Amino acid sequence: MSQETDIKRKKFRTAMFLLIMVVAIYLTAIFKEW
Amino acid sequence: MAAVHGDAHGHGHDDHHPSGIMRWVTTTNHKDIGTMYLWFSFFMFMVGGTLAMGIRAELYQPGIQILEPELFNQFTTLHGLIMVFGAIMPAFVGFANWQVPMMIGAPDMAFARMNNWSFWLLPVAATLLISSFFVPGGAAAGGWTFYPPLSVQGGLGVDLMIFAIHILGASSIMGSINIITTILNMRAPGMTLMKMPMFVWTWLITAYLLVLVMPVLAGVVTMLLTDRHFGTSFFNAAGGGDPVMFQHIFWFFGHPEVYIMILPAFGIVSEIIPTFSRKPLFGYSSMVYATASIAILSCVVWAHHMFTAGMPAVGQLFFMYATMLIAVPTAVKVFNWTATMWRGSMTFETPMLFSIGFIFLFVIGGFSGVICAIVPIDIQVQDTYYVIAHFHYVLVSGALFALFAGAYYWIPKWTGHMYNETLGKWHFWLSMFFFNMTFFVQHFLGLAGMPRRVPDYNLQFADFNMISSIGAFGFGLSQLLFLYIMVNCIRSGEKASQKPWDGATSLEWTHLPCPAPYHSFEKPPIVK
Repeated sequence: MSQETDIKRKKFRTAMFLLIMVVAIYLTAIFKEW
Repeated sequence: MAAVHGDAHGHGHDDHHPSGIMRWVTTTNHKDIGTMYLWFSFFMFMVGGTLAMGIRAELYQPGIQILEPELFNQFTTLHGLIMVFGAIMPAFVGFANWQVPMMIGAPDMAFARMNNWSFWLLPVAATLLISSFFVPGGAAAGGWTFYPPLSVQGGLGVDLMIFAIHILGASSIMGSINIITTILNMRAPGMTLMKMPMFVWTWLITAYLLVLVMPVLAGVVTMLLTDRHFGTSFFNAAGGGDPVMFQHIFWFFGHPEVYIMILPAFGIVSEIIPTFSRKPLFGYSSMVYATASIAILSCVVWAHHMFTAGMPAVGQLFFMYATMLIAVPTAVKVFNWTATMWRGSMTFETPMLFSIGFIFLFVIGGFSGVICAIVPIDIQVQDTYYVIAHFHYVLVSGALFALFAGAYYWIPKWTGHMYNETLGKWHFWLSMFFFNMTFFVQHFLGLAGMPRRVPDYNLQFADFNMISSIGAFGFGLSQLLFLYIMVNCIRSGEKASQKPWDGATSLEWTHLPCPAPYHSFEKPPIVK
């Protein structure tokens, strides 16, 4: 795997992890009060 | 505008970009986007400042002079919202956009197109906020914290505010994901985490805080929206909801938000003090750990904003002690800055003056914060001008002074020109004088019992209010001098050398010319 592809994969993985965290916190805040 | 040509490496980047307005609309360059963030935040600073002038003009004398109470409340609400979400936060994101890639040796942000979108959401949100003044019923008037029941009962202005906050939140979340991804994945070879400049560290931690708390804010405004229009009763007591729960959720976002606005300021000051002391930063690793500790503690202190809302004594004790605990890592930072200056070859250019002013005044704001954290005292000063004085010492002489320091420090790198040092010093001393004239006396007003968010007041408060208003007009006018200095620097400032500050050591000063080329570090530098 080229270095560029590797960095792209790492960037995508970091961003997806953070995005899932954001959505999870948002839904938790609402459903906890439901 | 002509393209600024940088490293001619030919790595596939195209230096030719659209000219005119389309350059700015379509740009994915971190420097262009950083510039837009900075100009946008300055514009919003002027709008929020104009509202502040209106507030202080009304409070110049007792009685109702200029603003009807309803409009006064709209002014205080929008002043807070605009300054927090429109001025201070975007300004720090502007600094992050310009500086983070250059300081870690990266060619750009990790997600350049998303970066463009993050910025362009801001003018949309700002338009919604400002235009809410002109809808029937006017803008939101329940304070920047928009507590129910006022925010459930308000008019169309509240809906516009809710929509604007959703958009601003989305922009902040995208921005922070971008910053974290950039810092974790795009550092130059050899730049380990513990070799990163402090500004980058503080932004990494701030971005994590944003990812943690912005969804909570989004959640609470969504619930507010459904309470207003879709028949739910999250916070509506009439339907079995709990308005105090709103306060808990809001402040779970709101207190870390304070640190979101101050941690990058710590980062800027931590770059400037070593540069003008010509010494490395004292206690680098303790600075990193102190920043992380402040961020973690900031998530467990939210209810100190709610001591008067009703809470068991054990809750009051927990939140009081947890809040006071934050003074420990904050003091570590202040001691480290002082130790950095100790026996340094100090010079006092404008960035250094603003940084020292920051330390001096932020410590005053920090001390009044500890005072407010003590439950019996807080019950006395809650919702008085003491609290107003406290948080303006933190956010104006804290966050804003650090932003000024950073702007003077990095403007040679951004524009290739030096600012006028004499005028810069005038700007500092005028700001310092008028800031204290405006806000120091508000401590006395608060201790004497003057409530916040009220356009009229008892005659006993008249003298201090007059002093405060004159100070505010002076402070406002002084910021026009800042605008003049910056425009003058960009248009006709003296040419800057690559490293005008001889104590600077970070990559943007050691590896890049002034102005920094349009594309920098296409080939990453090796950090030893």
